[in-house]
Amino acid sequence: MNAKSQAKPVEKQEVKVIDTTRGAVPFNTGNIPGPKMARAVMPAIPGKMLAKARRPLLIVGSEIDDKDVLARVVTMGKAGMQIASVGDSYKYLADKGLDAHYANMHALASYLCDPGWPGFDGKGGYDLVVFFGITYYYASQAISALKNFSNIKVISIDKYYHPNADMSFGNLRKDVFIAALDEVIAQLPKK
Amino acid sequence: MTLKKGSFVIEGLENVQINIGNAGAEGQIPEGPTPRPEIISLRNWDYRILDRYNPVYTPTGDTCDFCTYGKCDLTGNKEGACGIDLEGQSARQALLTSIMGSACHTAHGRHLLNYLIKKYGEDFPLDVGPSNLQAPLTETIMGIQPKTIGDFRPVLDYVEEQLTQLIATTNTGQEGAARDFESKALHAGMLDLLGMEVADIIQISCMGFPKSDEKAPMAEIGMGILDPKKPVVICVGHNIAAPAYILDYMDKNGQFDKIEIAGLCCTAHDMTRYNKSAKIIGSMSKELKYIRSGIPDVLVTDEQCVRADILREAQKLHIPVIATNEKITYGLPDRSNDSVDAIIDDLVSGKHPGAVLLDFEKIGELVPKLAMKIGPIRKAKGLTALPDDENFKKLVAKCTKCLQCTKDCPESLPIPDAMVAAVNGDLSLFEVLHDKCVGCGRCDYSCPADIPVLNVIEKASQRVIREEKGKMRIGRGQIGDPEIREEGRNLVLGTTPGVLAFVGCGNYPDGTKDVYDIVEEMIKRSYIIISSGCSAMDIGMFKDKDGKTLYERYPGRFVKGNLLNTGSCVSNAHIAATTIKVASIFAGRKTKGNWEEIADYVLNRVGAVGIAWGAYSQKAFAIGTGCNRLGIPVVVGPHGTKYRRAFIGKPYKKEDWNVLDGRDGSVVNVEPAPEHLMITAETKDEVMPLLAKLCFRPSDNSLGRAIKLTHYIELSEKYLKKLPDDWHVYVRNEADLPVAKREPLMKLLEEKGWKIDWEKKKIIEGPLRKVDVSFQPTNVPRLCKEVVK
Repeated sequence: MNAKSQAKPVEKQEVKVIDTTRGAVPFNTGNIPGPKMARAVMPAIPGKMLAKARRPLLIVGSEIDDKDVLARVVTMGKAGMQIASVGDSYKYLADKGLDAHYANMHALASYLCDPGWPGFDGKGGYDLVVFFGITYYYASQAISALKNFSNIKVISIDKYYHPNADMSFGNLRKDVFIAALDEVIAQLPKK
Repeated sequence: MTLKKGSFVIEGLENVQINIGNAGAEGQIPEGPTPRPEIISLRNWDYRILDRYNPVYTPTGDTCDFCTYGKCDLTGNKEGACGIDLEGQSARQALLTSIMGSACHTAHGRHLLNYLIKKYGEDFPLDVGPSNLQAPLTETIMGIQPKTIGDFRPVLDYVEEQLTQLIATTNTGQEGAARDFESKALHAGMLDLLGMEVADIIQISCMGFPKSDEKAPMAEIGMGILDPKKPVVICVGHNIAAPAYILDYMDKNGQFDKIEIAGLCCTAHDMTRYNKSAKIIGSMSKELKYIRSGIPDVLVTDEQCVRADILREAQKLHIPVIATNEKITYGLPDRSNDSVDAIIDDLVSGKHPGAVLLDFEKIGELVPKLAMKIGPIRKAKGLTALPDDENFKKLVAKCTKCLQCTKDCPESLPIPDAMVAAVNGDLSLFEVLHDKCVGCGRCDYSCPADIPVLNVIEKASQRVIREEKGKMRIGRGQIGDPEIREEGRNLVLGTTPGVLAFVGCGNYPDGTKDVYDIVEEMIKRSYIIISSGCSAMDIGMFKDKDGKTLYERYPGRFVKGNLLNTGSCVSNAHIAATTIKVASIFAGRKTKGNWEEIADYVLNRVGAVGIAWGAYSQKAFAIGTGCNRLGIPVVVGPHGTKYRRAFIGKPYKKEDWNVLDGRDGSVVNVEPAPEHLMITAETKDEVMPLLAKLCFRPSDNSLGRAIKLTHYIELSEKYLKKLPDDWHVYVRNEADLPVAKREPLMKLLEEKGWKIDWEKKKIIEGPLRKVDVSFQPTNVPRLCKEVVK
């Protein structure tokens, strides 16, 4: 009996796999914009793109009031992400010590389409926008401006499938959504 | 010799011009350069607006299917087969939306004008209350001062002709530039204001509506106000002509204690303006809910905001529908020439589910008689769409929590959670949903388990519906000249922080209560609150701990800290017209045919902002766009992004905020005020500081600026938990700072690099510009004195 056969078989560790590409149909049934709709992706892809982006921007909105979701926003902010806090979401981030800036989502969409916008910090525009926690239809409409009138990559890591993004998760249950955010966060460079 | 209409001069009396025509309106000399502006007459003004407030397009679809070349894929702003790109197509849609809304109000006005001229004669005098400037929009746009209702004929002729021209530009192969589509959309919006003004002034003048009455009486409002044991008549829509005959008949026959009569949507406003015995159920959001309750015994429809399925829904519950306006006829037989008794027999027997009836006298007689006859029959049968207690339990138990209802709901309401709670006997979640639900019924179609979801929500909410009893001060009409004289100075100098106009419909993102909450916050801060339409109704639906509505707590005069209701949808014209009155009465600006100068004045000096928190209709978009052309910023709720176009300023582009000083034509770089012309907000907490910010104007004096800045900072700190990032932009000297926070704010300014003389407590260096009390901000070069020379 050779050594190989004598070796104790390695016990496979069970890894919980989540699939964020399921349910990739517009969350509001009628929200079908046209021939180009978002590619459904697994969390590692937006995570890696965020890690590699030159000037990424995270946009979060009024639906980050959930404590589990808020905790992920804070983690991403602590990892160095600049945050555009739209709607009334700033009130949840005010005391968290993040690089967070209040913005009106509609105005922000307009600024992002303008190559001359200096950004929140005066260092110029952004090459990647990632968002979650915004009223579904509101986010969908705002990013339709980016889709059609800008060259910025837009990724939804929300619990809804957003057809107007370049990439999006499908429609997710909350537990899957939280797990997906954790997988995105796992890809971010440690600060 | 027969004298014809026109002007002539008699030889030897060259200084005397004799005018033959209608009293007042014809032969008047315009004071400005653009009486009866054609579709590009005001293009320069529009370009000035568009250069600063860039159109932002948020398409709902990326394709165009307007002609047989298509469908064309315009994704990424590609061109379609005709050459139009997505930007152009989006602007064309904005124009069409504006035209639709404008046509709606104008056709309403035309219907009323024809009817009222027939009834009262074209020489019937205008009477809107204590006002020399009776028709400010008509004067500013047409260059005439109408005196009689007949004087409005050429006004509507003009609007209709212009709308036809505008519609023509949307055909494939016509206009192609987004910028010019937007100019035309602004034109359509302006026409909308004009059409509305005609409609409301003539009904105020002829039908005995309140005339600038700050103490107009209260009307009852809510789904719980009617006695369902009595026969119930519900009028739905916007046009008072037919309901007035019903009210007259009931009055004459002493039937108000025998029959309940109320309105849904803006018809309700005008019914209460016409007869104090009428009541209000509420906005369009209540339409389907109230019909399905089974309480109405007769439905009377006229025009606008009438659900397309109203006949189908009514038929299920044996509620006859009387269609009284040519615009909405539902395929029903026209019974205008039949006898009242014959029609009633056919409706009571169910031979016909309803009737088109265009004879107002017959409508007046038929509807009460029909209600008295069919009411007892329907009530004996207990007709309602709502499930009984046993069925309710079965229905909620059927829910599989698939979320399809949530996905189809315009507000994405968590209906399955309420179903689960109801299974366990807890109806509280449904009771919360009742207010948030806009009553569209899409959930019924989406449920794979065939649960009639809306009926379930309403059944579960019977307790709160019974308590739904509010009060609304009925529509007062215009703001009178004396009120403008009293308040105009405060507005222009900023010592009244602003006028906030709550207008539009009930497609609220998070329920009706939001509007109440926003109004309560802002009125406590001394903003003048003007309301109209469904917003005016919804403001009156809630009470404080003492059981009082906002209308009962705050008076209705046009002064700070008051709450005014102008009336129905067409009464929105008076809100826009108020800014013209300020320019004319307070500042002495000429109005006749002088749109650009007036709009320029309003944009730079009158801190008025419109808020259409639940806007859903094309009409609301047209109203907003018309206000924009007049220099009034408008904020819409988050659903407003589906209008696909906003006008958003870029505060970081300094060159966009140059204005001229009217004294010498010099260029002054000013703070972004107002920062946007049409924009949305996501939540009520976000919108309140935004409203305060949009009230800033370059003309504010220091006291006024300090007051406005106080509210902007306080509202931001209260609702967003932060000092606004841009508060310092609005500081021109230390006197602009809120008194209570002056020192800490000066320290913050110092941290930003501003130089402060702490001994004198003065700002030495830092502001964008200094305060100049004589500053005459304008965006129109020809209005500058040096240029005029």
